[in-house]
Amino acid sequence: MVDDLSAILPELALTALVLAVLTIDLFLRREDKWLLTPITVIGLGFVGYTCWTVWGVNQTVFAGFYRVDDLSVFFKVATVVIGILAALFAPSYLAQRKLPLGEFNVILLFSLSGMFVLASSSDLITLFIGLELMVMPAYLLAGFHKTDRYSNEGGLKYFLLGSFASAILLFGISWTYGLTHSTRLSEIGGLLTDGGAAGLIAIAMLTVGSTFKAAAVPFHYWTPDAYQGAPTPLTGFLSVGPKLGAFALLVRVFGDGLGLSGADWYGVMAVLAVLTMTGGNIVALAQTNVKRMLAYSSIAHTGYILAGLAAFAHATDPGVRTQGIEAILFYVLGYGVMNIAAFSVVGMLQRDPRRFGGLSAFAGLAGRAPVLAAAMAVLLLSLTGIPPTVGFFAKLYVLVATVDAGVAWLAVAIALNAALAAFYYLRVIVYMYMREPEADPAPIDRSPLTAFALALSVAGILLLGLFPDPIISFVRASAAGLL
Amino acid sequence: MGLQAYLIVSAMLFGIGMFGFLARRNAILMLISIELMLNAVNLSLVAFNAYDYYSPNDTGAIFALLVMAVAAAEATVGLALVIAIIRTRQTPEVDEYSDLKE
Amino acid sequence: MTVESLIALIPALPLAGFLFAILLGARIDRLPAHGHDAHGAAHADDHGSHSGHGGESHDTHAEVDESAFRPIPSEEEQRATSPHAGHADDLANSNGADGVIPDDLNDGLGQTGHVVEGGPRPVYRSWWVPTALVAVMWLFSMVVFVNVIFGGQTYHVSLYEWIGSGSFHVQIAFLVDGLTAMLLLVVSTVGLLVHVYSIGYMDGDRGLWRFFAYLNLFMFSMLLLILGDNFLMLYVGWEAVGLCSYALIGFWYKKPSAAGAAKKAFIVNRVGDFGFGLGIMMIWTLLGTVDFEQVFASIGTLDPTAVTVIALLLFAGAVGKSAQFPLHVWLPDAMEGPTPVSALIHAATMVNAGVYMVARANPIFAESPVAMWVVASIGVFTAIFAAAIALTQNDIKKVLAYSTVSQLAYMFFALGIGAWVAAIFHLVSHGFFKGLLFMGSGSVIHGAAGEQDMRFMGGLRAKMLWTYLTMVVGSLALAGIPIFAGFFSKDEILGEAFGRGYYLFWAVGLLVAFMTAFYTFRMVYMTFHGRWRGPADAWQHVHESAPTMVAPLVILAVPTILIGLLLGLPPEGGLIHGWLEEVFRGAEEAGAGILPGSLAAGDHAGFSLFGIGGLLLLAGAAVGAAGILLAYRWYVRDPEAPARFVTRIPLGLGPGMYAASLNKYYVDDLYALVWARGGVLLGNALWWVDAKVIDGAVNGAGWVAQRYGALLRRSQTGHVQNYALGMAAGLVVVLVAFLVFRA
Repeated sequence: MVDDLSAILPELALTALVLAVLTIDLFLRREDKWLLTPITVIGLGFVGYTCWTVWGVNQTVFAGFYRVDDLSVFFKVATVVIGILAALFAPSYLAQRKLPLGEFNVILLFSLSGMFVLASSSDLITLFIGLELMVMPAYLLAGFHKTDRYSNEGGLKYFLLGSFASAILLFGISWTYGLTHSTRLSEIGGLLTDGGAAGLIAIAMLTVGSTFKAAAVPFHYWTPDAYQGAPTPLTGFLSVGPKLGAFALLVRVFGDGLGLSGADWYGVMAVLAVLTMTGGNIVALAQTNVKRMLAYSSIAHTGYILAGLAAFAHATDPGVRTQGIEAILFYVLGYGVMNIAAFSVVGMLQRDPRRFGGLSAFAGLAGRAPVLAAAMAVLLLSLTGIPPTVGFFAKLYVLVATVDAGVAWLAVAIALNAALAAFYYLRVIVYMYMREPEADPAPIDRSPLTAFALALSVAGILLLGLFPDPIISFVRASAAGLL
Repeated sequence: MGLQAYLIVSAMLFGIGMFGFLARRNAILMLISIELMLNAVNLSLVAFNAYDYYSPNDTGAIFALLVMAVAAAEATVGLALVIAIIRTRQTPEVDEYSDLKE
Repeated sequence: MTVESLIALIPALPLAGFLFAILLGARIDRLPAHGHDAHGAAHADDHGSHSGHGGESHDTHAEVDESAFRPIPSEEEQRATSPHAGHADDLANSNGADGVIPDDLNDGLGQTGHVVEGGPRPVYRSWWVPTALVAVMWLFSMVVFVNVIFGGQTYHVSLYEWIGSGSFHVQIAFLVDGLTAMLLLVVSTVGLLVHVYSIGYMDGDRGLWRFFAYLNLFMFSMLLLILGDNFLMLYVGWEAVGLCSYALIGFWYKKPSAAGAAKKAFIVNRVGDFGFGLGIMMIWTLLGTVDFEQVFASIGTLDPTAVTVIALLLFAGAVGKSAQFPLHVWLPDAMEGPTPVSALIHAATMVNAGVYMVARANPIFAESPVAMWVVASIGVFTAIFAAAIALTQNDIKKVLAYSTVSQLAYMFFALGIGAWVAAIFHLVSHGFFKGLLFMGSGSVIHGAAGEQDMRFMGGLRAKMLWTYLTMVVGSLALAGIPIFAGFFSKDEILGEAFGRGYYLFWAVGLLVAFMTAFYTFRMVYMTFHGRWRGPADAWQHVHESAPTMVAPLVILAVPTILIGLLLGLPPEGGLIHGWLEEVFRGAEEAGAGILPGSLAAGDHAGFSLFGIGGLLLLAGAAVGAAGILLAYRWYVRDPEAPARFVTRIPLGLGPGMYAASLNKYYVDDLYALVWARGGVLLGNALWWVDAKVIDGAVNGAGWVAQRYGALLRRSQTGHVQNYALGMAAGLVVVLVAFLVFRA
């Protein structure tokens, strides 16, 4: 047993870091602002380290509002990884557009702290607070380029629809509270069995509110617009950070809270999963702007992850159920790294702010910048799910989970969708290696920081693809905390 | 008056807010509609709390207070975004904001 | 170093070569430091990607600032300074690349970062490291080969557990037994020689670094394929070689026919691979493992129907990869790729993957007589079908392509009747002599300034003696003339067919052998004998190829002559039988593929030179000789003979064709009608099915998806209100869904 404050050491450390960055920003001269990036990254590294101090604690603190288990540690570590990558990818892009680095770091860290709270909540109240703490900075990040009409538009759309979804979620929460007389996740299990028609309405609203944040079809409308409008490396973060949080939310509500009545919500999740992966892929096929294509493809990835949740719901054997959760964890982490990096490569081709990351920007990249092209090729192969990349194992994990859970039709849907997705991912590779560059090729951002972050991500993707064992054991140990 | 009456009012309020959000074209008014929906939630939370004989603590009421705080933060963020877009577009009408599509 | 670590290094070396070429190749292929041309060499790379040598070219011309992306000389300047215009002698050399790629396509734009119109030629060095690494790989392979074959060892190198999730366990492990060693011999030897050959052949192509990168990636994938000790690694290698084949067929991507052929190869292979993937998934679901040894040990416990389904699904993959009927259509088109690629991938290595896979999975096939019948039947049918087409082709590479299809079919025929060793024997000898023939044809094309049509060749032996001699050696092997490699392996297959009671198949095989000898020497005579039939002024430019191209030919001629004598004597009892005994023991002992009442079913005492075996050998040699003689009569002695033959065709078909057949070149078109009429019609019909139905289904699916995508994307209207309405509707749908799906 540890006391309450030791249990939330990572949260405390992160909050201290936010405040530190906020304060230091005030005292730095313009030419010293770059120092904020190392401070943020090293600070996040330290936060990641503190996460290990609560590994294996597995207890509820703060009178049952907060739960520190291995699952939450996994989400926090993944959050830190994504946060570090985001902090490394963005500065060069922001500097080219004269956007403030300090504000970016602070907003980013606030969003991360929301994800921390979300990952550890064992009560609907903390869950809601964490969610809002995560998404409100995300709205700001989407609209971060204040003087850019696209960024404004994306940010506002994200905000309006997000608040709308939050209101719906909140209404569902209030009814859940009314029906089960509790906001504890561990005590709302009877919602569907005892709640009657009102219970159905409540769970439907919970589903809508939470799948909205994960960008599931048909609640995905905000995704492409917000992603396209946002500054590109920030889009990378938006496409993985809040999504990680959304899946933490889904795992908490549906895994922790409603896990035992899985059979009741399995069907909806499965249908949403198939709708999401198919819808995302089909529209992505019709895109010529790589940034927007990646936005739609991120919707499709949500579908694959939801399939893991559906497998969890359908299975009865505890071992197989955890496999569904493991698949989700593995997928969000792998997806997080490869997607943020892929968006950043698009950003690297936008050194000239008037470029929009169209397919033609990638034409002949192999000759112009062989290393960058090879890195992007690895990222795209990973997103497609081709071995030996982490993306392959992510898909394989979900496939094995669905097959073992007895929902082979979902596995077939995933396989077909993966084949569909190959068309548009490989199209970019064909452009890079088998097209000639434009007459006026987009200048390439070659800042060492971005290159370092890209190298880190690609190395991670390949290493985890070749030696997935450590991460698989980590995922296993984390998922074991749920049951 | 029983719990049901409060819940009906709350549901109506939520519906009105939702309708407002769907029907209004002005970004500020849409923001206000969302506040209406959140207040509907607050009403139901407080009502559930008042009529909850099983677990006589004040969870619902406290939750309502927190929702208000969150709503205030949300309004701040929202207004910031609205002001930024009005600067570049010279209009609060969301109909005009459709450069990003398809 | 232990042999185990050598085995692990074998695939790693070409992988390193690939990484080197893809990451640094474009940078080390650079413009020479001192150009000899006033205007010109401009540096088209972007802002410092090649900043390391950016300065070097600056002294030759006006500086290139960042905003001037690509100073393109005016057309006149281009013509005046084009390296080809003034130096006709240099034509074939400077335009490497078969000469098939017109200058305006090989302009360098987009192929690399260099623009050299009118400028000095870039220095191409990107071949150096990949080739050296492949050479080291070859050395290691030979050490492993010797250890396995002569040391009688089987190596099992397990690196680590790759996948260990839930019920799914896969090792990264290599298995080297006799079978893998034989493949290793062919793959690494031909691979190395093709690398050397490509240095000369591709010289002057501005995509050289890409070429060597893809070539090394291919070597890596192919080695993974043959070394892997489980079906998943086999599958990974299988898909990867397909990808490399796609990239290499479409290497000259600006040529529409090449891009089309690449796409076709990719899509047709997908059809087969789909079956292959399903087969592997079925193995995993039914047996819970994909490890070769475990699968083969427990395959007998499965329901016979399941085994048959698995075997047929696996075979579907082999049909695609090894270009068997009805999925053979991609291979002839694949000749659009550079000739070294044809030699390596589409003759000696990748297309053998299907044969290797069936041989590797022999315990599975041995369990299913139905699958064996299917394999043998498709093999026999494809053999005669493709041979009939090869008879009338005029493009030298197309003749060899159909010949490859036909010879691969021979191997499947052998596998299907249970003559496992004979099949692998033929694989090895075919790998060598067909690699030789392809490289020889490349040398011919290169020397004849890009001409591929044999009707416009002739008399080349006068100028290309080495190419001629080595091609003749390869052709004798393909024709099955005694002492050459093909004779032993082919006759072993025929002998086994006879011995195992497949008399009809044996007769068809003999007919195919005759046709093979005929079309092979038709090719030799049309190309090297007679008089030059191309444009008169082109004759003076015909020349023997560079030493880097001739040397591999000469080297390959050695195994083509010797390998049959070394491995195949005495027939059906040669060394290779001992080497492969262990691999096929189970299937052999089960007597898979032996028909009741045949010689082998009875007390088959083995080969006897004075019994039936000797007669069979004689028959094989005789049809080969007869084919060559006929080709000699028709294409050297009496060029009118084919025409006369046509007139003698019954049913009154002949006279109508007579007038047309006066034109010597036209005769071949008539052949197409007469000889291969059935085949061509059927081929066309199948091509149609393939192009319209199968391609159509695949492309159609993509097309439909894109159409729907275009429709659906319109639902993203850009208006927040519509989005909110969509979400509200979604809420209702979810509510209804909960009602419907509630347990």
